[in-house]
Amino acid sequence: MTMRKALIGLVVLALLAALPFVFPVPYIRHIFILAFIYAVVAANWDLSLGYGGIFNFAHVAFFSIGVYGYGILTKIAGWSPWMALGAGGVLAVCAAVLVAIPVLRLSGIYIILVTFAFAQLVLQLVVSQSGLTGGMMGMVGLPTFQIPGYNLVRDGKLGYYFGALILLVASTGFLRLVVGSRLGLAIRALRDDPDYAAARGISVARQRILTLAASAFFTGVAGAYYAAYLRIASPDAFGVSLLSLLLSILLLGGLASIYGPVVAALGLTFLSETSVDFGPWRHIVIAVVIVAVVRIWPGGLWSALRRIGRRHPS
Amino acid sequence: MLLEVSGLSAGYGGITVLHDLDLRVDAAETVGLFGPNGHGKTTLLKTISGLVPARGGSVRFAGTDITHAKPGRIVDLGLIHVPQGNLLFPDCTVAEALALGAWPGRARAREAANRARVEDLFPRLAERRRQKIHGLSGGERQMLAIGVALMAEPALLILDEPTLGLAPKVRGELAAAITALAAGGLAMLVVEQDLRFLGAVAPRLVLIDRGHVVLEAPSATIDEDAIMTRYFGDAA
Amino acid sequence: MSGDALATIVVSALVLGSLYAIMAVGLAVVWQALGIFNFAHGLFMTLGAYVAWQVASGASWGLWPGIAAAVAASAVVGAIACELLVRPFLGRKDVVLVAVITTLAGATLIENGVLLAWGGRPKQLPPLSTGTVDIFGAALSAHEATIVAITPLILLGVWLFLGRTRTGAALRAVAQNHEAAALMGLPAARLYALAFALAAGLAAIAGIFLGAIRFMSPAMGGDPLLKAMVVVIFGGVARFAGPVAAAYLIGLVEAVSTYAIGLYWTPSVLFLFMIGTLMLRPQGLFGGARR
Repeated sequence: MTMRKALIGLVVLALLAALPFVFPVPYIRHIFILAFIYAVVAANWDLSLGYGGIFNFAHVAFFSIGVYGYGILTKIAGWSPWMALGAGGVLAVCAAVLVAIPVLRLSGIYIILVTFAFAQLVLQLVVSQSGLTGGMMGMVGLPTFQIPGYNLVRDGKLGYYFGALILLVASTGFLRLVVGSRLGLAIRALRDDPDYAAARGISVARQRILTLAASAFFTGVAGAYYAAYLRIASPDAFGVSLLSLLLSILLLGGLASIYGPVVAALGLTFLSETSVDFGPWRHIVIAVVIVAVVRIWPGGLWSALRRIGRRHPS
Repeated sequence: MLLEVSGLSAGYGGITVLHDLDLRVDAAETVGLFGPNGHGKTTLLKTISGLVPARGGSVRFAGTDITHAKPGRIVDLGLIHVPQGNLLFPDCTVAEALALGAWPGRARAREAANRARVEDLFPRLAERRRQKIHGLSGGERQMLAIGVALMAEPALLILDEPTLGLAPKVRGELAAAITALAAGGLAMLVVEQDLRFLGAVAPRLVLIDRGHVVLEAPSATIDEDAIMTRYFGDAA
Repeated sequence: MSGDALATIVVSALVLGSLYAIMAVGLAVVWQALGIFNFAHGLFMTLGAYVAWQVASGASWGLWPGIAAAVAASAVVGAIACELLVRPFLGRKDVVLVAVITTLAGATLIENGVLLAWGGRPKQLPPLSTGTVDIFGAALSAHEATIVAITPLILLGVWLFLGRTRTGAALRAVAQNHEAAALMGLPAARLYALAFALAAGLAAIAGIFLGAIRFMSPAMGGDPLLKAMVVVIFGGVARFAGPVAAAYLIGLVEAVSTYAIGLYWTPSVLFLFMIGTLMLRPQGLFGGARR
């Protein structure tokens, strides 16, 4: 990472940390919290989709497993919210390994279909076990984090804001580590030229399992955090609208980019949350935006901006 | 003049392959094109048939300007381009491919008659009517490719390296077929690496080097061996 | 198992299989012609059902005009979807992924459009024919019997179109060698749109079938699409026979599973069945999918 990038990163982080004090409006903080969570989910999806070239459409299920895992563990099994947070990540990783197994030998469209079907299957399972999960109504009144002596909802959810920001920083750091590691190199090699990579001794199966598992951990944690923050767990977490939102974040941010999805998540979450009142039109607008972006900026808006920044020859 | 190419420029992305190229083909004439690989022969053919957009100059066919026309329209006018490599449609049958060749409206009425003529010219195709194309040999696929083009009743037939990868015996059969077509009055533009083959079928040869025409002469006067050696090393 | 129970299972399998076969063939046609998977396919079904409802019940013009209008409307929307959502990206290396994204967006668009136009309250279509029929001890409605009887005819029609007509051959040709097809004057754009229109029309018919059995809602296409996905994973998409055979097979598995284990666990059974098959034969049971 160049000095310039590191400086920009620190500046952005400082800005984000200072933000809630500059704009002490709880609603804006709420949107940012959601945006941070979605950024984590999207950026981790980019690991398997963009860097790994694995058309994993079960990623949203990793998030929902974190959500419902947290809900069931805290409300029904009485676990502490902090442990349930970590458990959300672990459960998601287990799900990822489960998904990875059938996907090992498949390619292209079949991966999409199988992983998508897997996500739908998990949704159906969750909804059908209504005794445990509240069925279509979901679960409400989930216990949330307790820090002795400090109520997180105080100061307009300030605590939650910094919690989400810490989550984002941790996830981003993790992703940078993975992408720069041998695993990261291997999965990119596999994505770009599977035959060559295989000839160099890179095991497709192992890399796929590792990539999916790596992409699942913080996603599950984000899901658990989401449940802890909103204190509900509902089947909407599995919905196509979340899938579409995440996809548009990735599209806008550009695949195979660590910071792109973060920036895009902020913008799109704002757009999405502020247009909630428009009912079906909200989804229609998002859908149109998605198609327009794919046509006009095939590499994502982020990479188009980066190219402008790079125009000066070195 | 049936086909008139004037000052044609074309390329891909940032690269210009054809530079101010002039070429003409008269009715009932067979012209042979040759030259080193990568110097624009296929690009020229694709620009003429509308697959590659022209960046400058013009292409006129039977009096009509087709410089920026779409491939479908060019086919309708009677200019048929048989591309290099003869994969065609692996999962279709020979009969289906020939039927598809008669897609242009004006060719449909005489489809049966044309099919009979194609099968006369290439008896092997008649034997393999119901066979799938992926089961044919290279030579048979090439014959089929030409046959499919003939089904569209071309006024000008463009062939891109018809003998590529084929054994000498099959080359001989193809040469005979092409000569027969020429004798029947069909105008043709043939691109080939094999100068001897080209000399046998085309009375006039054109050498393309680095995107424009550098030599144009009757094939009888060209020293094939010398040119082959100059451009391709020892004559194959 | 009693003879009655067996007959009920078989009947159920045939009805389900018919629905899935029609849906899967549409998916297969698009896959073969364009090389992409259309995630909006379920919404063509939904649209067909709603248009039919509007013409038949809303405007009271009768069911058959409703069917005609539904198939036509769905086909037109299908052609438009192809032109806007798929064709612009056909040259790209990642076209499969992009098409998933854009057809998902298209699906969202149509679903919310239907929601806006007709509201979320469940509706129902009038059945194709009324009354009940008794076959070997199993009672099925005349509507369901019509479905089972008509579907093979529809499938035969599609098969004949693809395999025996010039246009059908052109569709297959354009999918196998785009350049050669262009040089023969085959109109690629129109053929692609035709493939989509055909798929959408078939989905509309499935929607009309389903709309009289179950309640219609904007989200009604979700589950059939999922089942159709399982079918094409199973049966492959490269041949016509594969998806059709797989459709009836999945219908049978679902019928047996629903009888034996119940409705809640059947989706899991189907999924496990699919996974198991894929692990043994990655190209699906009826294989040959070279794309």
